Amino acid sequence: MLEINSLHVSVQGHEILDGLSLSVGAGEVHAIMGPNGSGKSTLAQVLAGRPDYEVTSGTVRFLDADLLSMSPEERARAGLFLAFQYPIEIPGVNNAYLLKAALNAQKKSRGEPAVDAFEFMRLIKQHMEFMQIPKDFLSRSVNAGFSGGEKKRNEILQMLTLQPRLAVLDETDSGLDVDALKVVAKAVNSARDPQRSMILVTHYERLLELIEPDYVHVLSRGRIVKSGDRTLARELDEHGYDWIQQQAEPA
Amino acid sequence: MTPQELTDRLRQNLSRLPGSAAVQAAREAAMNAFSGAGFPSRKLEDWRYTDLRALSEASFDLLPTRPDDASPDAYARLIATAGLKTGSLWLLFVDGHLIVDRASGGLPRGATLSNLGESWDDLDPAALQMRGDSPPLAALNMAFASQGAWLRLGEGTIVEQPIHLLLIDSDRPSQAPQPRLQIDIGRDARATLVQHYLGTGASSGWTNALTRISMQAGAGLTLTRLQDHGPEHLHTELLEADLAAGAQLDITYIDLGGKLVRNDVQIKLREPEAGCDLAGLFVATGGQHVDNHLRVDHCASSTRSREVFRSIIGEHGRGVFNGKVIVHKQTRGIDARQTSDNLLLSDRGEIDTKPELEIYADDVKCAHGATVGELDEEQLFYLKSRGIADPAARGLLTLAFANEILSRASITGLQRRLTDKLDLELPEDLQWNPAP
Repeated sequence: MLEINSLHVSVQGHEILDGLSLSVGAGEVHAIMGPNGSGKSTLAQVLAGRPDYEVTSGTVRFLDADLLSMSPEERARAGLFLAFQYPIEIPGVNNAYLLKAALNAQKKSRGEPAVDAFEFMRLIKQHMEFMQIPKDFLSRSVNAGFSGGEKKRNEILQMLTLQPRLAVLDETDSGLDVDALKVVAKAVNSARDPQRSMILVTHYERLLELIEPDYVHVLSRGRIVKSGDRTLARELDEHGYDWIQQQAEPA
Repeated sequence: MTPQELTDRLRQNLSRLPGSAAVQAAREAAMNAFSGAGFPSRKLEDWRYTDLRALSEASFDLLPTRPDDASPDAYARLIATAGLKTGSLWLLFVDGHLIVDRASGGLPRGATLSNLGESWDDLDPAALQMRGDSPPLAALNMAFASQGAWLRLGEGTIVEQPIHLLLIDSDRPSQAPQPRLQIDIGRDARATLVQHYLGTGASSGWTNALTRISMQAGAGLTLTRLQDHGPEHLHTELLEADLAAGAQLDITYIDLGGKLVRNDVQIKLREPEAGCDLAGLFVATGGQHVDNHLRVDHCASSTRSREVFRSIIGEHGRGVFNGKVIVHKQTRGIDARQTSDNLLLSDRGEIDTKPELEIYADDVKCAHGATVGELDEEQLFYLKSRGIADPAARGLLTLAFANEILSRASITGLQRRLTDKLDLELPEDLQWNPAP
């Protein structure tokens, strides 16, 4: 599904990712943990194609295509979805329009017919009910005036609508209360599929109690310094990151 | 077109213009006032960015005759853009002449709508006087205006249905109608008005409009005004309003068309608790020059004003915004807010925006802010990360910027007109309305 090989990324002249490699197979859920500033969000954004992040070397292959040569919209159409850590507010565009536009842009690129208004509304209402999102949401501006929790739910609603092949969830758990976290986890678990992979970028172990990852990786100073199964997440929760960072120091 | 030539033209035609001696005297006084000042030059602070030579050096007929073809059928395509329905109240003017009246018969008791051409003599004498601080072109309107509309609402009269005024330009060259609109809203009365200035690409005239609004205590008026002249048309306009206690005036100005446009809006909040809410969207691209000058006078305590103006400036477009708020002495509890947000779509466009606050009192809450910028990169990336192509993402964000104002306007099809005008691509058809 995704092969990242020795990726180096600079943001405004500072190297943030320093030779990161990661392989994600079809149907797998990978968690990426690490202290602040370790490069977790940079990885998420660079996969989605954020323009001001400069890839200085390395390769990324997604579904056997060269991801780094694709524009952000091409990546989305190929089936990559990023749930933003800080979803962007777009006053003047309602949620229904954005969802329909995004879904149809992706369908069109796959040569599928556009979804009609009736079918779209049926689909979207079903997902909204599942996400416990109130009905007036569709006619409100995208993320404008939403609480932090509403924004995060909206990202997951978009994911459910777009049915990506690879979903990268960037700290979707931060800012959520326990109940909202459960709703989000339930939705993410419902989206698990042998044909769909996920990368969960997170700070906290509590999300991983609800969404059990197949692999856990620890990111430190721009590279993966330790990988393991979900027991690694518990160790990190108990002992923090220092012991791993010390282990990772070059002798 | 010198002031002398204009004076001669008026004198030769004075006896044929509507109105008796008092009205004729008012016309001559206004003409003298204009002659004294002449066309405003850029040396005047209020005209610093707007050069009227395209107007003063050209030759226009300020007394257009009634066009021979003036029937609703001849202008069906333009009329259709107004989105009228069966039973809508509307008036049609072509080159300043009233052609169709489908409004005055449908008004409730207490409301009167008349053609000014037949009722100049009934106007309050104050309606014939120029204010000392009115912009000079309004005096030309006062001198030459022959027809127009006069809406009167008696105490407590409520007109629920919007009244549409369609002011259409014929394709005859160099016509310069001087439409006059007088609106007198009685105590606790309320109405909604929609003005459409419309023209085709062939129109090469000049519209010089004067709108006067007088609102008694507790009166309410919602005015939407769309200016969508052809690309060669010139448009200058003054709206003056005077509000008594507790009156509320809501105005939305949309400027899409015209080559050279200058709008002056001057609101006097004369008594306590009066308020005005002014919103505007103007587009300037492809050689258009659009200038909005607003002035709100807070003359009494506990008055409230809001100004929210936005512009979209494209290639070779020039926009000007000046919003002046004056808080007069010995007033208290004033609340005035103003924002001017400007979207530059091309580095070959220009916007000059200037908020001005003059405060002569202590107990005031005033805020103003102005922004000039391009489309937001974060928003663009967000849309693209959902699979929306770059041109469609740009088109959608441009429309979204306009939607904040367009959604206030009670005119259908404005989004389509804007996207056509700016040639915006959108990801989904507009039948699926993106406005919140």
